[in-house]
Amino acid sequence: MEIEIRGLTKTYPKGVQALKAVDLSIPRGMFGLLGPNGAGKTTLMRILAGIVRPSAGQARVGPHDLATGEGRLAVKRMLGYLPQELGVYPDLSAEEFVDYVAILKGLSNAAARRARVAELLETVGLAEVAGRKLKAFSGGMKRRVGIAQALLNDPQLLIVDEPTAGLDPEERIRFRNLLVGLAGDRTVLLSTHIVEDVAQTSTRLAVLSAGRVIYQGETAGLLEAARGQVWTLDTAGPAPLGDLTVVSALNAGAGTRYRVIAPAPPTPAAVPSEPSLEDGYVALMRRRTAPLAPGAPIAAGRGV
Amino acid sequence: MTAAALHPLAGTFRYEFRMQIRRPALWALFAMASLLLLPSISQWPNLPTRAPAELAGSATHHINTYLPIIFGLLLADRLVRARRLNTLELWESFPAGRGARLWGTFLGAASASLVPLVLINLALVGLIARAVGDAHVLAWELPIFVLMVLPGLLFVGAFSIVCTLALPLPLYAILFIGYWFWGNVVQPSRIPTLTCTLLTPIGNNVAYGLLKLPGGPCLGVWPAATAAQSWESIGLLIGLALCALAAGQIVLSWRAGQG
Repeated sequence: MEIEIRGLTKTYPKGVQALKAVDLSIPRGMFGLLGPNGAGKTTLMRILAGIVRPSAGQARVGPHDLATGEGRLAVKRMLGYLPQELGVYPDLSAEEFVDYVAILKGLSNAAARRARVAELLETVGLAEVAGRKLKAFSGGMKRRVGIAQALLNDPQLLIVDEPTAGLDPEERIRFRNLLVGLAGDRTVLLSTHIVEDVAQTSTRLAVLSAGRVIYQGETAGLLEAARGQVWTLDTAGPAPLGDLTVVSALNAGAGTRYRVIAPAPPTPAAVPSEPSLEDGYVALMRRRTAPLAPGAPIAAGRGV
Repeated sequence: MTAAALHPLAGTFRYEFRMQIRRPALWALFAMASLLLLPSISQWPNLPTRAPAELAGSATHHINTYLPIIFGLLLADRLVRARRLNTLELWESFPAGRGARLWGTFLGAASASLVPLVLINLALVGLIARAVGDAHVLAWELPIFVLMVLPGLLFVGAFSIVCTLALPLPLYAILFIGYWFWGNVVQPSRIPTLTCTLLTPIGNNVAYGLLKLPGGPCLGVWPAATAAQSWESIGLLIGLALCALAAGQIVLSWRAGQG
């Protein structure tokens, strides 16, 4: 199920413009949506999930136009959605909650529904605690309940918004692997502000900043945004200053090892380094905040 | 209504019923209220000389004077809770309509809240039947409960669940309790009130118009309460409840469109 977005704009009633003429093509498979908090990712997810209506522009999921009621309903029928903050009913057990969602998703055959609920709770590793009330679940367990409910209707489009927020490292890895395994022939849209999550799961991504798409293309292409701008610097003195962004600071015995993004070596002792995806993301964000020369390319992929 | 719409409504009913019936507050509040109300029966005069329908009617009216307050308050947070627990966003992503959600929530939570009310009524009427040695009192309870109690509860429940879409829950609770005493308990001879109008959900019309119970707050104010007025009152209460729920559905759709 491919997604085509053209000139998508969303302005909330109080005047906040969350999306500004977004153009985006999302192919089948796993697709990452990266951006800082407040970039407009959640609004875009909500529009694609049929929860929020766009103010202008067009968003199509396959043949379905999200500007129409029929289009939104059709998308909801093939959608699995895990919102950023998954609300659950604490007095229901995991099994009851997922069954409740299954009914609302239209799984009407009781026996088939029960079997599907049991199968998915097994898939996410919650079969043994299926009868336990959700108020006793940890954040990670609730996220797993969330992915189980999202998969109930075998969705062609799976939208997960900040799915690893609040998870411990082991659960994050488990969750990412689960998502990749699910991608197959469906479209999985992963929204996050954690670069590592996209790096480990998606071959294609888009980066949003202040309501605009500032990069879309191959994930590996994001590295190019930082090529020639990544420096490593060991110093026992103060932190480097100037037109740079410190990506990391590592205590190294008597001094500190800094990894910085800067257009030129911050000091003569700075050593050029190979960029990582995180460096590419930081370099891209720096360009968005710094004045750009007219016509300057934004990134190695399809800059917008 | 199509089968596709009925299925999510039935599912919502089932789970809202479960969640409401499991609420400790439901049982605690009704238990406390029954502890206050049930002992007062021993002070009723001339029990053995009164007809079974009159006894069942008086007992039910006695309970219906106060317990619908608890019923209304317990329903008032059902839609607010969806916002508090953050379930609204997920629920909006489902193909099931908002109408099924609203009606299923109302019917499920209201049915669960009825359970302790029915038990208290049965306990009170059972005690009376035992005291007078006449099982007919119990037999009268079902039609009296349906006519005197259910329309008022439908009215109270519908407004409670819908009004909190527009009013903060604590403010609604204060206004609702104030309304209840003003519109149902206060004697009309003291201040203008709804107590003796068709709009009173307490069951006055059925009690004094249909069952012809003696006395009551409308004596002298509305001495000619008739059976026809009782039916009008029942129809009005049910009609207003349906209007309130329909309005709630419109508000929910409007809000979703604003998002």
